Amino acid sequence: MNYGTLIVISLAYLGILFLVAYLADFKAKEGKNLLSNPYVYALSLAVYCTAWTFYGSVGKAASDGLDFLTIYLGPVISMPLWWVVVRRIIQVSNTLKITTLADFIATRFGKHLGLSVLVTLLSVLGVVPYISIQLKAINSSLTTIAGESYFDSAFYTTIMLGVFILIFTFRTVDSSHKHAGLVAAIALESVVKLVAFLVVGGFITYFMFDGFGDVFSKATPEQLSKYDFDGGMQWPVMLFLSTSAVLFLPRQFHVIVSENSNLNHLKTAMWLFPAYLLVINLFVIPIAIGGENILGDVVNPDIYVLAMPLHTGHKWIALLTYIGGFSAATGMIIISTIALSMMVSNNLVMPLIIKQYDLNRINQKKALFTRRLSVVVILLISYLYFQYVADRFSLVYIGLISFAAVAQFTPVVIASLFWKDVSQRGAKWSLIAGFGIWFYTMVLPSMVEVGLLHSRLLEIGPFGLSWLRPTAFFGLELTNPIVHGTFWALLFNVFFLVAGSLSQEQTAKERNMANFYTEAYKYANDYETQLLWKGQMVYRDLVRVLDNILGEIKTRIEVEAFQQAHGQPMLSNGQVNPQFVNHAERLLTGAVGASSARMLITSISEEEEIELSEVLAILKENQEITRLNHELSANSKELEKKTHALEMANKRLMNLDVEKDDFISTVTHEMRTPLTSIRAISEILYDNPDLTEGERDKFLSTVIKETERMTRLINQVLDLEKLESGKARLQYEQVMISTLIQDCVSNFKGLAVEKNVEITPIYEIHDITMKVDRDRLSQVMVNLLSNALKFSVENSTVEVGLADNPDGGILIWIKDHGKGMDEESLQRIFDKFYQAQDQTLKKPKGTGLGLSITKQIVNMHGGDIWAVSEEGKGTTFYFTVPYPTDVNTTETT
Amino acid sequence: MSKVLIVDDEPNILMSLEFLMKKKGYEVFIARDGKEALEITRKALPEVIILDIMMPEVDGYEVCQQVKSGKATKDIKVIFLSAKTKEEDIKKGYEMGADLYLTKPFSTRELMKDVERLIVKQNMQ
Repeated sequence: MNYGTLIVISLAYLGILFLVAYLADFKAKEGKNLLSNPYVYALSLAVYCTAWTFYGSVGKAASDGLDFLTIYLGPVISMPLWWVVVRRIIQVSNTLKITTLADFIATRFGKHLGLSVLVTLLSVLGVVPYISIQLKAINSSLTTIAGESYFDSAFYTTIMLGVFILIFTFRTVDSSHKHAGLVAAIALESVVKLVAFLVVGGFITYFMFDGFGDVFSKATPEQLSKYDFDGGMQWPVMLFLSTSAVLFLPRQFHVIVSENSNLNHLKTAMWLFPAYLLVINLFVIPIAIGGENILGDVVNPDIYVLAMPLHTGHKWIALLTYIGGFSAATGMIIISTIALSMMVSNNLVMPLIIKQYDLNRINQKKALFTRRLSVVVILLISYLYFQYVADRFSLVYIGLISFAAVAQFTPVVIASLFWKDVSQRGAKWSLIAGFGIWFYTMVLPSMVEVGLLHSRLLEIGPFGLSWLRPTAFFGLELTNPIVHGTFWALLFNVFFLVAGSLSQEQTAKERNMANFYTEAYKYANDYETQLLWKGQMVYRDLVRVLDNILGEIKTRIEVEAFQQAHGQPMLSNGQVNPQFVNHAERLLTGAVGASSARMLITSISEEEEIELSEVLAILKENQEITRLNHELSANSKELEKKTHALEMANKRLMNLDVEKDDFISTVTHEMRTPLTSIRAISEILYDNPDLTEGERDKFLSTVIKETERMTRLINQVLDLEKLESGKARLQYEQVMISTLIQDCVSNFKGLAVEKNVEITPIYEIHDITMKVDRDRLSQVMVNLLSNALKFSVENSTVEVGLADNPDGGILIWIKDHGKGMDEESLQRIFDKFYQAQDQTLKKPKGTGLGLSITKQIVNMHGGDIWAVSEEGKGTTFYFTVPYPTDVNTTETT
Repeated sequence: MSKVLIVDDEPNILMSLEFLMKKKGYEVFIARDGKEALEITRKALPEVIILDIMMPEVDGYEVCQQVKSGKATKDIKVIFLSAKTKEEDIKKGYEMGADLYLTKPFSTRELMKDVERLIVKQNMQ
């Protein structure tokens, strides 16, 4: 079979993929989305099985026996945990429109740009070699079938895949948009590689041999002994690595999380995917044993699957095998490249562009171009790596180093989901430590192996420090460098995760996100209201950014949707509704990634935290703008405060105005009553000259009383006004309090006798002299005494008491034995014009101002007045007068 | 002899009105609050009630409403005599079914004429 045929077949296969992808996209537009099929989702997860599985498993089995299985047993065994861990990751990611692991980690820690850059760089570092070994696999499968080629087939494969990716992804800027066509193509690839492997496996086992029994019976005892389970240290380590890799390899995170359209699809995936992994390994051991027996050492065990059918001359089987391997490799390359390019463009390139250019110049086209460019660059680097480096390493070793790299993400991700206190510093330290040790203990030794570094490093350690030897860290000598490196890397990783987290307080934003991550289900539906956003942002600015990045139509749709669900996105002052900021940031995250979205938001807003400035020195020029923004918004905040104060003052004034109106209307009303009597009686006197002397006296004395009443009212209104407005000043002088009380009491002697009420003084202290306003305090006593007498029933007593006030000063009380008051009256008794009902006199002679004036005077002395009452038994008024402080006393001498 | 009920909680106003009505030859009843007013109205069935508004417990508005909606009392003429002078208070008074609303201070001569007029009107019904 020649190259021409193979290339045509490869192109035809890719053509079918194109067609499937195209049809799936087309159907998705018609509403029949293949992504809603859980089997498609589950099959797409099998992108986990790469050329490494397809060719490398047999090779690994031939050399190390059962160890090859660890790569698949890890995911199979850990599958039940997916319901806890993966479901939560998907929930969080869907809600926040997170599409990459970098976003997932950075978002949890306040969208720290440094973190997402770190995760991106580490992913690229870990995965590019992995992509390049896929190119290597395609290339060597071609050479196996058609011999050495005269042209660079790997280069053209790379280009074809690049074209495929560019056509079927990134047509819209929204990367949270699911790619139905892409996923359909990947699911198809999973079927193709499985069928191909089962066919070639079945062919070897049942055609070249007579079934499993025959294969094993023809094996030598040494061959079989390789497959005894040895239970070495590599088992737990490898199981852990594969468990992590199946989740956190960029391509895995992409198909599991980003392309998930329904959480329930996980249920199907959780049985179908492990089943797939077990089935695809069914024939690995027979092929390995059979290959060794028939082909022996002449052929690299990695290509037994291809070499066996070729050996028996079954070209069509070999061709099918080639297609299976090709599909395994291309699936991995396509998804890995997409995932990496998303990380690179969102976390490395976009932030630079945002910093470099005016916001108005960042638009959809630029974002898309960035992402497409990233695809090309990543493929190119992978190709170059393949061309100049990959040849020097074994397929499996590169794969395992890659696994060990992504395993360093595991502690951070798990902690972010289950440990609320893990902080940004912890995450950063964890990744740096983990990857540092990873590089030192695994990558460096491999560089020594191919001669890039001197072997002295491994033998005696750097600077002759033997405990720092990369393969025997702290003197721990293990035969397997992957096991050794993984052990140390994870140890340091977890240690620094905990240490970093405990040594740093979380910011409010981080704490907010921590709650969100650890209680993802609770917040899934009202994300906008659950996240804090505090700051100032002009609505127009935000819409301009959204227009630029999402396009005007999409922006308008989103604004309307928000309006229906949560209310106006713009506040009345032109500022953005904080909930809408969260919503917008999420939309931008879907488009340009979490960190870039964060930068876009912060660049148009004034928030409390600006972490970016710490991270990137490039931001210097922007810091000036940020500072100016700060000042501007500080000014506007000040203005807002003053406006608020003014509004409050205005409100107070309006209240006062209403109060004053009420007062005037009550006063005039109170004046009308005596006036009415006076007029009526005057008219009677005028119209009736024939009145008896007794009648005339009665009427005239009433007129006099009513005029007195009016005078009293006028005086009290004026007095109260004087007290309330502060125009009245107290005239302090030394007064013997008991004497003052006695003088007042004696004024009421006549009235007391008339009502047959006895006034009893109870002095607990006698000779107290203090500075008070004599006249005003007398006024208080007279008011309270006249009240007490007015409400007293006949033949009762009124107590007047004087005592020390424990708080300083004196306490005076006046207790009557009247009907008492209800709670409502007690509450309102000091209000102006409030008159207690149900008094013993049908109509009180008072004006309703006496107690208001009394309270004013007591308060001016710095004292308190209150009343205690029991209905049916009487009321007691208490008031205190403290010793005056020098500051507010004006003494008359 | 026509019967007039005077309702007010101000003793001096009661005194003047009582004098005026008795002089004119009416039979005068006096009530100092709304409750008392309603009792006397039901028992004595006066032709005219002179009614204050601001009184404890049952106010004048309510007295008027009850009088005007009672089967036996609905034809009794009600004159409000109140210190409430705001337009809305007066409007409310008429809404309660009052025949006249006079504000304090009032002219005794006009009040007497109005009372007489209403008694005539009432007797014609």
